[in-house]
Amino acid sequence: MPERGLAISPNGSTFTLEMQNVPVVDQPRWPALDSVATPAKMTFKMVWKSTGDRVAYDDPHRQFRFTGFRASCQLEAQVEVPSIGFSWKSDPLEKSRADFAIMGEEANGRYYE
Amino acid sequence: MEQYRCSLNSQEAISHGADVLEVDVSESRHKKWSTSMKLTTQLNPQHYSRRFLLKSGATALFSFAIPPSNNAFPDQSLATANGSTDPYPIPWLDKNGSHNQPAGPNLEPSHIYHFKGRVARCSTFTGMGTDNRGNRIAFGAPTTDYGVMEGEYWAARTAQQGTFTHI
Repeated sequence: MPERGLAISPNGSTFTLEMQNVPVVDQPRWPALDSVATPAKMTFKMVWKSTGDRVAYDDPHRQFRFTGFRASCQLEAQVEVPSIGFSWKSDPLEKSRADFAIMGEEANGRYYE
Repeated sequence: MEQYRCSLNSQEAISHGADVLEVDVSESRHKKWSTSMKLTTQLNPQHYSRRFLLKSGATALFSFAIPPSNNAFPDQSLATANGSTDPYPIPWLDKNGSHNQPAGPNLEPSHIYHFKGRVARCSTFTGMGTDNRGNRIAFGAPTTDYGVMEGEYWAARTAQQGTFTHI
């Protein structure tokens, strides 16, 4: 994705991911193998905000380490499927919520020490 | 309730790259053919015996009998061969034919391997929206997860920089 699509606040406590007219596929029957994929486009804005509660995962077996914070996450989006004349727009960002969200820093694979 | 699975169309640039490569190979192959014909007519001008003509004629015929597409060692311009700069998938997810998993406690947040940098994940969204006919349609499910990764990753035998998202 373009680097400008992600904005991080100076203190690192807010991530804002925003993209316009991203080419995607509308695949309602996924994960069925014969699920038809229809070209679509999506515009969205997603905001993570740290709650301040620390989180740390460290798995030597799977070679990853994450240190960061629990977060809230909200999303607003707009989807268009031109070939079937369908479009959908979410309510404003403030009306959505995610039950689980985290943000922070990770190292895995060759960077795991 | 309809669910949307969305994937970024990242193959376009790769496809264009392959087209360019094919053109380059074809052009250099043409150069090889013209070079080959020139050598055949200029080699050893002092040995114009019948035997030589038969041998060189057979050689020329043989070279034309092999279509360029069957050449196991096509003449290519020099290029590096360090592998793709695409990031590595998480090995135990890739084993199952998947490149992501829902975000959750103690689950690896990143979608790519050999990575260090900032990452954010979320899952189990709840929200509402309206379609173009005025119908209220909810979105979100336990598998509705999103993520973003920004930082350094290892590919093509060197460190790369990139920003990736899963929507």
